[in-house]
Parts: sequence; structure tokens; C-alpha cells
Amino acid sequence: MLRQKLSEKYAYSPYQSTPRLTQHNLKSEQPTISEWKLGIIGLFVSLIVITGKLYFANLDYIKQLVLEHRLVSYEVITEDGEVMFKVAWKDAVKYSNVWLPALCGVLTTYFTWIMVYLDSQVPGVQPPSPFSPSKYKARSGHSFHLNYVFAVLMGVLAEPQVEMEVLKIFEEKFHLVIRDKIQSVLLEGNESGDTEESPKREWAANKTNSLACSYCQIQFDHVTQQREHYKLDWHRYNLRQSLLQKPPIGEEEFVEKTAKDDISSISGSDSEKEDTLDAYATAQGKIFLQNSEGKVFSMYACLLCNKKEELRDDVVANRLRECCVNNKQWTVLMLGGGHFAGAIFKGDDAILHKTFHCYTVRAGQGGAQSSRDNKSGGTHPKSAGASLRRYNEQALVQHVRGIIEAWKSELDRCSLIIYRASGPHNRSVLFGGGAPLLDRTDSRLRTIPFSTRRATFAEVKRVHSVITLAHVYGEVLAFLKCIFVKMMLLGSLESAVEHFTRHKLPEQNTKRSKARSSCIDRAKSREIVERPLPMTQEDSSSDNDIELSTENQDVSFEESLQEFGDTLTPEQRKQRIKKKKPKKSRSKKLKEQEEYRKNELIEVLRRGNVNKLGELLENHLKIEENQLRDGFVNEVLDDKGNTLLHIAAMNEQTDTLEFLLKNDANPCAKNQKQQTPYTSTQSKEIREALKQFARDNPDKYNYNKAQIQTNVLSPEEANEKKKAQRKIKKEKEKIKRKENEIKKQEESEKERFLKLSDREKRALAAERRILSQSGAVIARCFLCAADITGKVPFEYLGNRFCSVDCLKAHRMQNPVVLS
Amino acid sequence: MSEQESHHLEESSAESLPEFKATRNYTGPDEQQSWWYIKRWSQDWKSCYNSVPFYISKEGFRTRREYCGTRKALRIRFENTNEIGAFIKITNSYCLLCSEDESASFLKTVKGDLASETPVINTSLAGCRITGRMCVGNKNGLLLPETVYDTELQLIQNELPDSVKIHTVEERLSALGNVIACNDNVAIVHPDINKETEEIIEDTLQVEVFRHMIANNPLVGSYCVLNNHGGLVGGGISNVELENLSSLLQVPLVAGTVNSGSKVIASGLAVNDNLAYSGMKTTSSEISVIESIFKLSKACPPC
Repeated sequence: MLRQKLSEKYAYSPYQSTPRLTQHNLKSEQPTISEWKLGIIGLFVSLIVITGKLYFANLDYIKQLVLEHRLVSYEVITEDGEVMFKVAWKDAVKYSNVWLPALCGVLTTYFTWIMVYLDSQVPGVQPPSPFSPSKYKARSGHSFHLNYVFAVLMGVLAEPQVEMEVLKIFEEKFHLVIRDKIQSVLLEGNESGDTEESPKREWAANKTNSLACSYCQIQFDHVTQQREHYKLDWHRYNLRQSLLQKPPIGEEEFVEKTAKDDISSISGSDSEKEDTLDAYATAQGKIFLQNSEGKVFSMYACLLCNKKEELRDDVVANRLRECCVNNKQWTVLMLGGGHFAGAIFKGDDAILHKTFHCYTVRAGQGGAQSSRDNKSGGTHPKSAGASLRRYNEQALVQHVRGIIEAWKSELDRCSLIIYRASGPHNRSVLFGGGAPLLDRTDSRLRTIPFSTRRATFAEVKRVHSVITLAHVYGEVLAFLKCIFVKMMLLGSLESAVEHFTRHKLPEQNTKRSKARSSCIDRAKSREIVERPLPMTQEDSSSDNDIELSTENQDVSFEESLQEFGDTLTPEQRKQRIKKKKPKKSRSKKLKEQEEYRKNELIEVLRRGNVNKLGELLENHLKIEENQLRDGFVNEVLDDKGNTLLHIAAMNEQTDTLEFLLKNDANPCAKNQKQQTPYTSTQSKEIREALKQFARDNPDKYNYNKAQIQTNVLSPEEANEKKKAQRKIKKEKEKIKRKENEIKKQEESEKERFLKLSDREKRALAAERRILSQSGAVIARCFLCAADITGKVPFEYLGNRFCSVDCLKAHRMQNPVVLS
Repeated sequence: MSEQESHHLEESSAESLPEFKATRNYTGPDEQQSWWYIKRWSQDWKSCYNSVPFYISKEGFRTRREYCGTRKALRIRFENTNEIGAFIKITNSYCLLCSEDESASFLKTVKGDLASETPVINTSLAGCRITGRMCVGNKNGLLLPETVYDTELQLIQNELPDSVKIHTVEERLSALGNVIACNDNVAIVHPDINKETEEIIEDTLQVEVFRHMIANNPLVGSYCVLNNHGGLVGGGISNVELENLSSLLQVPLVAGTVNSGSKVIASGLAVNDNLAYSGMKTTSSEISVIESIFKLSKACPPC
């Protein structure tokens, strides 16, 4: 479609060396397609497709992922569990090795074409013609079209499918594959093990002396030489090489390397190849094996060995035959979250299966009840739910035990027991207790190497079907082709991006400013055609200022045509730029002058040079008599909206401030921060000056607006007021102090009193009393009238006595009559 | 046991005593037997020979210090671990260690073994107790990792004599003890160590610095222990490499093990010119190698 449009618009015959375009044509018609948009869309689409393809077509891992997550599949669970899921886009996937490369090739061609199209001298005007070989031949003289070659090449390279069969490992076909010798495949990096030792072993100092460096394999004649050597970068590089199990390099080689700026390898950074193919292959828990015919196949490693076991080829082969051919009976047990599902499969069929569910997991919080109980220490929850779950946990264990004991005979016949029991609780169900259901050391036990969902029969069947899949590839070569293709595509992608950034972006930038360099790499060889430029610039370039106006027109015209690329030679460009300069400069000069003046003024204000300021003011008045003073003094000087007053205030120049105020500077002016001169400073002097001015000229300005507090007292008044306030304060303090003293005394006395013993307290009280009575005796014995002041009296019927004897005598005298 | 035999034992043990004197901390390959002899002998003649040590425990026998001179190789147990080199750093002018208990007998022992004027500083480094692996130093200076706490640095600065320079090193390989092995004259360092660090090592420790590896292992500080008389290298170093290294460092080197066959020499051994501490598990033959290569016995005086 694009092609059609273009050809309609810019129809030209193949032999025509210059397109049939005139100035009129250019002026009147804007191209309807923005080639930038087109190019970017093309780029994105092809990038997406290529990257997507990389993942989709190359890696069966992704495919499997998609299948497992049922993105493009629907589930069909038959009774016997034979068909687990069906690929919905089966055909699409099946023929993907046809249409994916085709799509890739087409898009890449499109992409390259766009590149070339944009690269044409006048983009959009004379596009190359990838779809018409005859036209191409006519123009270029040969029909070897590079674009097509690239497209075909890409298409071939993009053919990514390794012939891969997905087989059930119980099938006869698979048994044929594993019939004889099997060895594990080392995908890459197997050469390092052999080569690393050999050079070092061979190397030994020829001379008898020990002045040598075994890492660099070099000998020295003298100790100083040796010492110098150990400080060289070369030595360091060789140490690094040795760490990487690589042979050392000679000095010349090292010099060459460093000349190429390959220092990065010497510096401390460790560049480790993590993304090896081996790592990728084994990350999925798969094992890659090869039979004697060279066929590579992969299956889950867990079927053959436990995690920690080391693989030996004969063992692997035996195990494989054991579990796949001789004994097809497997058990799958899944336990988790109160769900149990177990089945014994014979081949693909489940001969025994059982699922059940107990309520053991705490709703909402999750986690088993027992783990909750163990966590909280002493207090076990006593809710109904908790006890229910506790009971159910026990029940689950019993059920599982019952089931497995019932299956005992079948279970013993199994070649593999694949289980999932995550967490200590679930594991303890299978392996814990006095008589464990399963022996932990049983060599048949395997865990499921991928994530599973809730333990149901369907899930058990799915696990079984997935785990019994084996992927049979072709030869090793075909297998490695995957990687090769991946590398190629990545490489081409990179180079394409690089090409784009290197060739496109600078051009974009320089279209207006710089002419093309003579050595441009074009994707396609093409005759460079002399074409009349849409506008001739010669006359304008030779003319002087009078032509300026016409030149202006040219520029605008040029701008409208900018999309059509540059038509100027570099010299013309330079001249044009030069010519533009003086035109701008007049206003610029004025501006500069202004700026200079302002800066000068600011400097004067900062320094507080009142005389200079006065001069400047007078100068100003002289020059522009019609203007008033406030034109000068209220001028905004800097880009923060500060007037002269602001600047004077900020720099705390009181004299300047006063001078300005005298010369009608407005203290209400605000800067961009909405500060008046008064608020723009913290200085007391400046503020005082402003206040003073406000007091002296109360009606001149609205001082509220200037935020100057006019109703404030004069300094003397303020002083008086302060003095009065101080006096009052002092008096108050005095009173307080007195009160405090009294309080303190009291408190100290209280303390003293509290420290006294009871008797002393009493004595003290008595003494007080005596003192208060000024020496008079206040207490006398009832009987003998002796002075008992300060003593502890003996009381009897409200009377006080000096001693027990007196009391006794008194009692004798007045016997109590008991009624 | 018959009369005759016991008599024979007495004789042999009596003879063997001077031998201990010469070789101090070990008694030869049949150490266990010797211990047994001594135990028997000292039990039998306890009443007669009060001055003779009475070794009732095997550990006591193995770590006995009688007849030690000023230069000695000793087995020592640090809080139930054999990896003595990880927790203690001995140099000719100071000693750093990290014992949790200030009054521990270990601390006293170390103070007693070192020359009286040598400061023994009990400090952690950057909160780690593995003082010996975190720092590196010789009689001229001490290098600490950058992560060391100010308090620790202050403590060390207060305790160290003025002649010892202290410097902290900003280095990716922060366990300096594992990446640098040095004596008072030379140092070999991990090949990846910073240029700046290399300069600091040269200036602070006043040594010549070489980048090297030991048997393809860059952790030279772990696999090599040096003093001014010699060095013990572990980790399966080849003869050629050992010779090269020896000619480079200008000290005699020997390949060996500590702690009953541990290749990580530096974790089981702490050495200065007059003293070597090795882990409790070190066999007598290992001790003899240590004594001879570090010139710590009277039999082989320092040259």
C-alpha cells in the first residue's frame, strides 16, 4: 500500500535518473507519510517479532511453560487420565517452524528496506525498490539484490526448530532410543579440563636456579629482574589467566592486548560466564543424555538420581532401563495443606488412587494448627476450630498411614516413589513417627522437580504425565544449532541496533547543522545522481546585508522542506549561520548593556557607595529628563524581582537605604518571594531605619502594605517601657524568692523532724509548748504537782501523773467503783 | 606389668627427660607413649621428685612449657578452637587478639610468652573476633580494614608503641589477613588487590610487595605464614613454585600443614620471630617442621 501511494505520487520511470520533481512539486505537496513514524513502527515491530521469536521458537522451555500454565491449552481430563491437556493452537505450534521464520524474514526485509528508504538522498522522494528486481537491475546494472540475500539469509538462520519429539518414556519409541549405551552430554566447556594442566605440567625451569615465574613461564638471570617482573601487569594478567584455567600469554602478546585497550581484563572485575548452556539446561532439573547413535534426549534428572548423587554413565543407563522399561510401576504421592492425593501408576494408567482432604489449615491465617501450637509456646488456642484442626491432623496421619499400608504390596513393587511433602509437618507424616511409612534412605524416593498445585487426583495425573515426558532431539549438532541460531540472531539484532544508532541518530542531529561526511555507508550501492537542488543559494551567499530580507524568506521556505533533507553544502551552511549573527546582535547588545548597567548598580548597592549611587541617579535624570526619579530608584534589578531597596536592605547598607528612601524609593515594592524590603532582611538596623522613615513620613506610603510596623514606639519610649517592665519583674522575683525561702525552711525543718525518733519528737513538741508559754510550767502531776513538762506523762482516767507511784497512790485514794 | 618392664620404663623415661629439654614442646612421633611413660613415672616417684612436673592430662603434657627458652613453638588452645591463627595476630612489636574474657588465662599465657615490653591488645576488629584474619601487620606497622570501629582504632592507637604506624585500608578484599602475607621485609599479596592498597602496604609496613598466588589460589595470606627466618606454605604448592617463591621472598620456605593436616596454614598458626602458636591438634612432626623453618629451637639457631 505504501508502495502504491508513493508510486502514485512520485511516479517516475526506471530509466529516469532524476525524479520528476520540481520546486513547485516540493512546495505544494507535503508527503503524506511521515517516514520517521514508519521507520520507528517498522523497527519496533521487527524487534518485537525477532525477540519474541527468539524465545518462542528456540526454547522449548517457554513452550512448556505456556503449556503448563495452560495459556494456549485446554484441559481434557478423561477418566483414566490419559489426556491431560490439549494444545489449543496445536496446528499453529506444529507449523511454527514454517511460518515463524517466514514472518521473521519478511519483517527483517521490511526493516532493512525501511532503513535503506530512509537513507535515500531525499527520503520519501526516491525510495529504492525492493519489490521490483527488474527496476532494480535497470538502475544498478545487476540483479544481485543485497536486500533479498539478507532476507533469505535471515530466513534460513531463523529456522530455529530442532527436530524435537516429545515422547512418553514408556513408549516403545523411546525404549528404542535408550536401547544401548548412554552417556551424558557435556554441552560446552569440556575442553578446559584437559588443556589447563598440560602446559603447566610440561613447563619446568630449564636452568637449575630457581629464578623463575611459573605462572608466566619465564626465567630470569638476576634477582632484581625477578622482583621487577612480579610487579608487572603482565604477571598480574597471567595470574588471572591461571585462575581462569587458561594458559599464560607471552609478553609480546600482552603488550598487543594492552595496546588494544583490553585492560579491563586485568582489572579486578570478574567477568564470569554464568549464562552457559549447561547452566540453562540443568536449571530446569533436566538431564541431557546421548545414546550411541548420537541422539540427544532430555528428561527430568530426578528420575535417574537423587539430588546429591553423582552421575556415572553406566549407572544412569541402568537406572533408566530399570524405571522405564523393566518396571513401569510408579507411585506419586502429594501431601500439603490437609490435602492428600496418591496414585500408583502402571505405565500411564493409575491402578490405585486415593484422595482426601482434612480441615487442618487455619483459615485466614494459614499454617497448620500444630505449627501454631508449637510457635506460641505454652498457650494452645482452645477454640472449637483449633481442636477440630488438631483432631484432623491426627486423622490425616492415620488416614495416610491406612492408605499406604493398604497399598503396601503394590508400593513395594514400584520402581520410583515420587512425592511432594513440603514443610516439616507434611514430611513428618510420611517419614516421621515410630514406624515411618517410607524409609528416608529409600533409593526409590524422588521429589517433584517443578511446582505443583493443590494435591488432587488430576494434579497427580498431571505430575505423572509431565514427569514421564522425554524430549528427543536429533544429533548433537542439531541440538547445538539452537544455540547457534540464538547467538546469530542476538548478534544480528545487536548489529542492527548499533547500525541504527550509529548511522541514523547522528544524521538526525546533523541534518540542519552539518553536511554529510563523504564516507557514508549505504546499505545499497547506488549511483549518485546529480540533481538540481530545489533552491539555489549561490546568489544569496554572495550578497550582503541588503539581501537579508530575501534570505529570511529562504530560511522559512527551507524549514517547510526540512523533512526532505538538506540540500545545502557545508560552506553554504556556515555562511548562513554567520550571516544570521549580526541581525540578532543589535537587540542583544542593548540587552547586554542593560545587564551591565544593572550589574554595576547592584555592585554599587552592595558596597554601599552612596556617592556613586547619587552620581548614577543624576546621570539618569540628565539623560532622560522626562522620567521621574522613581523610574530609576524603583527599578527591578535582578531576576528575583529585587528592587534597589531590596538589595540595599539585604546587604545591610543603612546609608544607601536612607538615601534611596529620600529619593522616593518605594518601600512597598515586593520581590518575587513577596517580600518587601522590610521583610527581606533580618537586620535590626535596617528595620529600625525603615521604621524611622515611616515615623517621619507617616502619610507617604501605606506602611501596612510595606509590612513596616508604624505604631511601634520610638527607641526612648521603648527603653522607658522596658525599664518599667524590668522593675515590675524584679519586684515579682523578690516576692517569689522570699516565698521560696520560707518554703525551703519549712521543708528542711520537716525533714529534720521526720528524721527524729518518736521520743525526740515528743520532747520537741513539749519544748515548743514551753517556749510558747514563755517559761511557764504547763503540765503538773495530778497528785504531787511536780513539773512534768517535757516528760512523758502516765495517764489514768484523763489525769496525768509524773510516775507510776503517783498513779498508784492516786488509784489507792480513789478506788474505782465497779457497778 | 612385670617388674622388669616397669624398671625398663623408668629407665627410658629418665633418659628421655633431657631430650624434652632440647626439643621442648614435642617428644617425637611417639608422643603418646612418652606421655604415658612420664605419667607413670611421675606417679610412681611423686614423693621423691617434687620438682618434676606431674602431667596428669594429655593436654597439659602437650602444652607444657617447662624447659622453654625465649624462642618457642607452642601448641595452644583458644576457647576450644584449633584455629588459633584466626583469633590472634603476633608480630615482633605487638600482639592483637580477641578474647572475650579480659581475665582469661589465655591472655595471661600470651602475655607471659611474649617479651615483656610487647603490648598485647585485646580487641575485636569491626566487631569481628577474627582479629588475625582481619588485619595484617609487622613490626613497622599495622593495616586495618576500613570498617574498623573508631573505639577499636582508638584502643589500638593507645596501646601500640609510637614506632608502629597504623593505617586503615579501603579495599574490596577486606579480610586483609587472608589476602596479604608479610614479614618485616617482604609481602605477597592477592593479585586483585588495589594499586592504592599496594602503595599503602609498601609505605606502612615498609615492605616490598609482590602479587602472587599459591598453587593457583589467590588467598596468599591464608596459605602462607612468614616470619623473618622462614615461611610455611600450604595448599599443595609444587616444588618449582615453592623454589620460585623462596627466591623471590629471600627466605627459606617449606610446604607443610598444621592442625593434623590442615592446608590453611594461617588459620592454624600464628608466628613472630621468637614465638609460634599452633592449634592443639598440631602433630609433633608438624611442630618440628614449624620449629625448624621458623628457627625457633636451640638446635637450629637463627642465622
